[in-house]
Amino acid sequence: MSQSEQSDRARAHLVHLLEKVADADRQALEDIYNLTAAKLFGVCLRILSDRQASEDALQDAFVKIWRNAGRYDAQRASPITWLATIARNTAIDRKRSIGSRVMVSDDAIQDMASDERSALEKLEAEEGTEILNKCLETLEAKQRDVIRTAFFEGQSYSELALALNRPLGTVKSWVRRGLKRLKDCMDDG
Amino acid sequence: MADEMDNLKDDDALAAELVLGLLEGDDKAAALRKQLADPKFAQAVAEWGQRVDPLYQEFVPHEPPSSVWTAIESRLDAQETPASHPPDETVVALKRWRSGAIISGALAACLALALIVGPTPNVAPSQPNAVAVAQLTGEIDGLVLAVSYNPDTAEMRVDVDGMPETETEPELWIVGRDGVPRSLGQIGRQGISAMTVPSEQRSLINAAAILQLSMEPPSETPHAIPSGKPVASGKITII
Repeated sequence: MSQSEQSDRARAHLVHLLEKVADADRQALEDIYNLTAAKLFGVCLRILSDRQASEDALQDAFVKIWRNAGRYDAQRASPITWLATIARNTAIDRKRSIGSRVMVSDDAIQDMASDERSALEKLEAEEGTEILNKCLETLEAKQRDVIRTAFFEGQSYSELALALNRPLGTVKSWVRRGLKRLKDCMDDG
Repeated sequence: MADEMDNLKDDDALAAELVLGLLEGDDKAAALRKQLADPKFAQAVAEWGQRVDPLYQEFVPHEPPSSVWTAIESRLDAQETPASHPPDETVVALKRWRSGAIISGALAACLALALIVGPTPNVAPSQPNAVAVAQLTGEIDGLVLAVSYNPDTAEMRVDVDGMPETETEPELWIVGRDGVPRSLGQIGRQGISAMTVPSEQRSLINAAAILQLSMEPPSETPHAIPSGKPVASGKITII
């Protein structure tokens, strides 16, 4: 079986499990947990940088998955993205409710962003990855870094502005111009 | 406004900002309500979700301790979730409402509910604040209400879109497990109305409740019972 067949099969399996969870099947939720908890925990850890908070966020995420599986639409998102998005949003909400404001220097942000990129290079190219990353490369470094940091650190505009010691309007403008370029590039690609 | 060449349309930028998690507080709550109420905006959010989707591959998996699953199980046991599965009594109660109103289709269609955890920087870390949300739709084409409720302030915000011209005024009702509609008062015909929910009705706002909209003669005070069948309804989700 080729790699893409394998990933199609894994995706179909997760979609099937989510349908069962929507019918209140606890075993299906446990199966989803066993298949995806490590990935989702990785998402929480990345956003929260704190083990206990990440464990709490992972719990919250699976309670939400249990309640909202019926809303999953296979036409709109892959199951793993839907699950990881819930984990990421839950971790971001928790981070904001804790009110943790970790000060990070400009250099540190660039280091984090480049660490991510080298980690990425080790990954096998999958559908969409190549185009997204090619297009991210066409952005100015500061545009790319704020977008990536927002995504991976779950930082808001005001947190980014604080961390970068730049006015909010400047950071917004970097992000928005970066997003515009990213969209144009991806729509062409 | 900067040159258009360099900027996305406002809604598209807002959709991207919501997906990336750049928004907080009221901005985020407003964007989430818009996602519920505006299908075009919801589509833009979905498209940005797909664009950044490959970034999820970069999160490095990490095995959580087994205590997490145990904790999830006990939380689910404690709730025994009426949330995702409306109890039969609710359906029966709804059927009692005026001449067996035809609701099932609308009910099925209006379950597009969002997860919103309230933007509340000052709450205790262990208990992020829950917000109730609902989307109400019905047989009137294009009529959509997006509702959010903050239990801290007891403020309910209702965003109305697509209300046709009528001589009557929209009135919002909450239907609890007992099946009795209780008025939350009349609301604006278009845009956002904010109201404080009366204290005796706050306990009704839970995942077993349904919000309904009926059209009533203009009145300063809430009516005791609805005069006609609901024109839109939606189930509450509390996260």
